[in-house]
Amino acid sequence: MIDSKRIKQRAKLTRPLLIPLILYIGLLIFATSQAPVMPTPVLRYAVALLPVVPGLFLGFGMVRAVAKLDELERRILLEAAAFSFGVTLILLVSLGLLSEVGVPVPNPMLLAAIMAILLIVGKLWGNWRA
Amino acid sequence: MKNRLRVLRAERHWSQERLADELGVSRQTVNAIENGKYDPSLPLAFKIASVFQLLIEDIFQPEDEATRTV
Repeated sequence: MIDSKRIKQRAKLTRPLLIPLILYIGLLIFATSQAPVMPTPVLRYAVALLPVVPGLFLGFGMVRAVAKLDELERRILLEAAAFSFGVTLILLVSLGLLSEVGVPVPNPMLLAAIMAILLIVGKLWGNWRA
Repeated sequence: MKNRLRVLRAERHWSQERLADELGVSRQTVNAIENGKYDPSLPLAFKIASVFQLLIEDIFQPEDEATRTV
């Protein structure tokens, strides 16, 4: 059975995150494609850092959304964050050690994406257990 | 920790959704408490007791005590 009330509550929580997220993705695509072709270094740096602005709003929005969660949801999120942080930390250390012996290290943005994916996996796992 | 939440809710013919609304939590939280998968915080336990107009110890019991009284 579709829990429409729950979907509405979720939508209410996630709606403030939607605009910053769309802006972030849009600016990320723009920055990665346009920053290298900017004529001056200052412009290059400015364009490269453009996605940080909606990223900050996204961060504040996430903090506000977490504050509205109930205690079980917060615990699930905390465990998911610990799982995501721990695995990413091990991955980072491993990559650091590999880079010492000449293995090329991937773009840090890829690690951020892995961290986000692990957070989602941890959240789904926590929801399944609860 | 054992609890009588499911029984008390059933006595009032409330759905988990209704109880969740009364408590200001998600239905998932009510379900987890009823199934003994999650022990509520003290403020939430007080709220549950207040909703059912009972004492906390009338609803929640330590595992060993629950075994002894059965």
